[in-house]
Amino acid sequence: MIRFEHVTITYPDATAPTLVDVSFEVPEGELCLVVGVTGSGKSTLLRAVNGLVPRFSGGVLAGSVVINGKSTADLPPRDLADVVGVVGQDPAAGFVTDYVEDELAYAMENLGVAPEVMRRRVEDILDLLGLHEIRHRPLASLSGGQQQRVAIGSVLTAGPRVLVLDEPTSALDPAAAEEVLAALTRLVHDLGITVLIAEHRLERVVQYADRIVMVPGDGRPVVVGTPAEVFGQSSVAPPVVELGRLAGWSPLPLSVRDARRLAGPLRERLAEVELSAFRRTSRVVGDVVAITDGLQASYGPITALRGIELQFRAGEVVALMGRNGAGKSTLLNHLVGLREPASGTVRVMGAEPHRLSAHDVVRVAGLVPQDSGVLLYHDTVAAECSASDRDAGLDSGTTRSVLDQIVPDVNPTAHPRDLSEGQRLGLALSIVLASEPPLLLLDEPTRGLDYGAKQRLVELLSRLADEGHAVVIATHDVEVVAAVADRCVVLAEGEVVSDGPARDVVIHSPVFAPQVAKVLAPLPLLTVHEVELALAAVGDLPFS
Amino acid sequence: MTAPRMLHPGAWWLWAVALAACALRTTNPVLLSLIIAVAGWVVVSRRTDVPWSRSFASFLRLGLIVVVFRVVFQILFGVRVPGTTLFSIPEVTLPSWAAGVSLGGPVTLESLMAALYQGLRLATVLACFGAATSLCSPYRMLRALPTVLYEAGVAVTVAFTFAPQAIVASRQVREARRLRGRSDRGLRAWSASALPVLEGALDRAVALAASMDSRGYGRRGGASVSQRRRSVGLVLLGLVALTIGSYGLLDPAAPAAFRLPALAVGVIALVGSLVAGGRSAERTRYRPDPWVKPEWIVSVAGIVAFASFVFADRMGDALNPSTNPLEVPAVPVVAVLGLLIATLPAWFAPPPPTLAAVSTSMAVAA
Amino acid sequence: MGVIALAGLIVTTSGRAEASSCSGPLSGGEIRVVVVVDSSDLGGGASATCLVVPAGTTGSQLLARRSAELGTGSVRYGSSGLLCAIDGLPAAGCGDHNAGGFDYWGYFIGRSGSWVFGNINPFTRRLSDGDIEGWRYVRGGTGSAQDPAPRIVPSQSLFPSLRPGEPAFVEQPAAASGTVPSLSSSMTIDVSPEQTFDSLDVASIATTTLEPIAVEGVALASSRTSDSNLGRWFAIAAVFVLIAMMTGGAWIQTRRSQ
Repeated sequence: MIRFEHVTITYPDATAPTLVDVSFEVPEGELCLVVGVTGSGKSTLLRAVNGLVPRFSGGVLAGSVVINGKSTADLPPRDLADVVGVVGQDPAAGFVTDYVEDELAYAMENLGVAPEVMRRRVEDILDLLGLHEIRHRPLASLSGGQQQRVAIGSVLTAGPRVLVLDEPTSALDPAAAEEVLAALTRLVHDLGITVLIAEHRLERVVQYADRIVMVPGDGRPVVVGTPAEVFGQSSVAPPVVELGRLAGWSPLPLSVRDARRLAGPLRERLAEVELSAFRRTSRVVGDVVAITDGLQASYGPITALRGIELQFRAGEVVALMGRNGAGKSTLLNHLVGLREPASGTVRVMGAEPHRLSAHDVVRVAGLVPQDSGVLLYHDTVAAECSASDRDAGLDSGTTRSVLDQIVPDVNPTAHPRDLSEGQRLGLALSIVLASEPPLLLLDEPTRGLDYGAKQRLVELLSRLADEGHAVVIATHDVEVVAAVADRCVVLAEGEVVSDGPARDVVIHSPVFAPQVAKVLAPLPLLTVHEVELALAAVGDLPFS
Repeated sequence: MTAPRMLHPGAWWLWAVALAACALRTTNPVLLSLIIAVAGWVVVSRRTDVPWSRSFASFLRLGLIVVVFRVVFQILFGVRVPGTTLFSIPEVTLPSWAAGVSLGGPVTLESLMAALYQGLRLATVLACFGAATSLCSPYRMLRALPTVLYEAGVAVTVAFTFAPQAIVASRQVREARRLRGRSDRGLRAWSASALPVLEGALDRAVALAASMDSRGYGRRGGASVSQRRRSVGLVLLGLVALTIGSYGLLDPAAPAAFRLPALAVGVIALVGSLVAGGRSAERTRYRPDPWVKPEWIVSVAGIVAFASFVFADRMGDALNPSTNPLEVPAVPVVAVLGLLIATLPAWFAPPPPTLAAVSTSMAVAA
Repeated sequence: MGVIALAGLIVTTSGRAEASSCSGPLSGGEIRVVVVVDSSDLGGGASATCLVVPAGTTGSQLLARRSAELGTGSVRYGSSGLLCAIDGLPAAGCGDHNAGGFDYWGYFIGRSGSWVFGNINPFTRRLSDGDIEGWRYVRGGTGSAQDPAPRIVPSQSLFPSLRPGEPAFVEQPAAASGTVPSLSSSMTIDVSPEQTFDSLDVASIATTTLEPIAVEGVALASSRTSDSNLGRWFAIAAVFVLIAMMTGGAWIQTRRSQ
């Protein structure tokens, strides 16, 4: 169905090709997962499937890409619309109309489909994706998961046999992500559509995948095979796979269910060990850095936060979790003084942040927003670093050295918008850290980061907490929470639902528990690292 | 009251253009205020729930800025017609080559009132335009365009969405400045936010274009290259001829060939392009809006208001009250009645399908 | 509005009462200027009026004073500032198109015996002592120096003599009026439409003297009675009640839908 033959893609103004001699084939009716580190060329591969690369982005494509017998060299993307459907990372940016039904019908209008056929297909897609209840709604009022499903539906109505999605669940909370993935698996199994997905958060998707295409980046050859084959050797793997590798399970489990079936002996062995010694030790927490008292926030008639009472102490990493729209971003905005509370108080280091001038507030609290690109407005990385040094009154080169610690090897003449997600996040983080605020806030920093980058972020945040900063991180990523958070606050509809040590909050929750905890339940272990430590302590590595 | 549905966008635009044409015919501030009130009333009664429906307030604010600018210009540069002086600003004598312009001098009540009337007229036209975009968003208008004009319409619509998105993006970027320790107020903040906003707009436009292209936008369908060239050529010829013809109508010194003959050529060319383009049928329409009684009522209401203004113009001078000497503006009853008829769409157009209407109808059906 | 115009005119007339005569000595800060108005193409005549005005008066203010002194009704301007009518001529229209050109009042400046088409802005041109200004109604003109100039030649002889003891008026034949014109603060010389002159022909000149201007005759700005004004205010109030109702209804609807 999809055939890449010796494809080499070089972007204009690039020194080296992004993809070198990629050849693989995806048969019909398979769900194929494309994995790789950030900036390795996954998006390039996906956009080459329908010809957006090189026709839209510029560059040179050597080799051939053939979809269902049609080559992208002969046909532009619009003539392949009834063969391949492509959904980008941000579905809202691709919406052309105002209402759900009109958006679904848009592709068919372009193709000149007869009106009766259009009506029938729209009704079918509404049922298939579970959108019939929102069919009359304006697109701007939909939640992230609903928008993603409408975007999928809008390319499906043209009747393609191949569906390509670029990180469909990165912006969604776990429940919405499950809806989208369920819809995709239904398409694969009920309709026989070939689906190609790029994802970083493999733990959600890998159990459904029939084939993995691993793009290592740096021009190294692409590895294609079944999940068991590929993850046997690769460094990029979900926690379940890592646990399987550690415990020597064969075949490597891909889902929690498969792992539990194999985990019996490991569980018995670990039950005998005194596990409290191998948990990540809680840090010594210092004084209160920030405190909210009866905080109430509203956007017009909508109340975003109700009566929030929280404290944040130095040396503590607090994870803020909850559904999209629960108020996490609003709380962070109030802590850094971007918004004024409707009632109640927010105090950071004794001062109210919204009353401080911009110059003073960055020395007290720093926020890395969801879209880290809005912080960057110079032409080159070097200009950003020197501007940051100037603003914070530091010696020149300070920001640059912080950046090198977080993300090594960033080209100083690169334009910030051309950096990969991980590099951009690193740059934004180094700018915020330059003035060393006692309270550090991060809003969804893990979006777009691969496992390696997430590991580096976790180490960095641990180090910052050890140095005495108070770190608050709003995230959906339960693995990161398990790895770094001391305390976990769960928000729902603007209220605090639970606030306690991360381990207690996370371990028994069906939604927020990491994979290791689910596999080894009822043992209170959160990460593969902890399991490794426990086994090593009793001398049982390698486990068999 | 009819069942909730969306009105054909052409009906709303016809009504709004008729109101704007009324506004262009008069400088009577009473009538202009009434036109704005009529537009606002219909907008609030019949607007939809998409983000574009809130644009009427922005257009009103823009109109206010226009009025202020016009008055300030009059104070600084306006022609110094003698009248009742209110105050004086220092006068600057300009060299002889700039003799036509006066800078400073006494500011008279009559000239201020004249500037106010003219600014108000512009603000009213803006309000009519804002009413049209509030009542049916540009995307709906796009769907009703004939096939040949579709691609030009898409460019216009995407350009349309630039302004509201740029406003939102610039607010985000200015907030981000605060996160970096720089003030988010003042001229420096605004000018520094321009480049990131433009870059963001470019990124968004490229993403939108990729999404549309992937869904088949711009497909040639069954038409051959020469057919497409022919229809595009006819459209261009028609538009150029129409432009020449309207210029000819406005300028009395133009030769006679540039007036009605040019207009006729333009209209024939455009109709020909629509016919030729329509035959290849490249795009279909999903659930096209019907043109039935409510559409007729809305369009005719606008046209009646315009006719009443033409009638009032013939009958006397009240549509253009004199400012030198200053007089109390007269209110022609015919025009007021015409404008009251223009409010009929607030009752006779079908209400748009809102969330409440949909959920109650589903509850009834369940 | 009428009250304000009235007040303005009272100021003007009282100013006139204090001005010295065009033929007598000038007080400080005053200048003598002559303004020629040629409305022959409209059926009027060509007239030259000598006025004493404060220094720094603009050309347009001069026209206004002339109308006030002669009692011919205020000058009419269009909304763009274009001069429409002097002395109520033409009765309607302003810069209308006519046979490939325009009908308008052309502005000229007298310089030593000939008229120069005024590319100067009459609203900002400041007059000095001895200036001669001309206005001529042009039919089908192009708005350039080719347009015809006023038919009275600009020369210093239009100013009355200043030597003490001499009669402060131009000599005239005894047959013209039979009475010796008395001193007046301004003088107007009228020329009949059909004749053009290279120099003043004393025999054909008739002089007129001015009556002191009656205040109510000049108050032409408020030609309406106060009754119809009241009617208009009622109509305006009614429309604003309508507007208030619509705005209030819209406000309530917005509140309810939120």
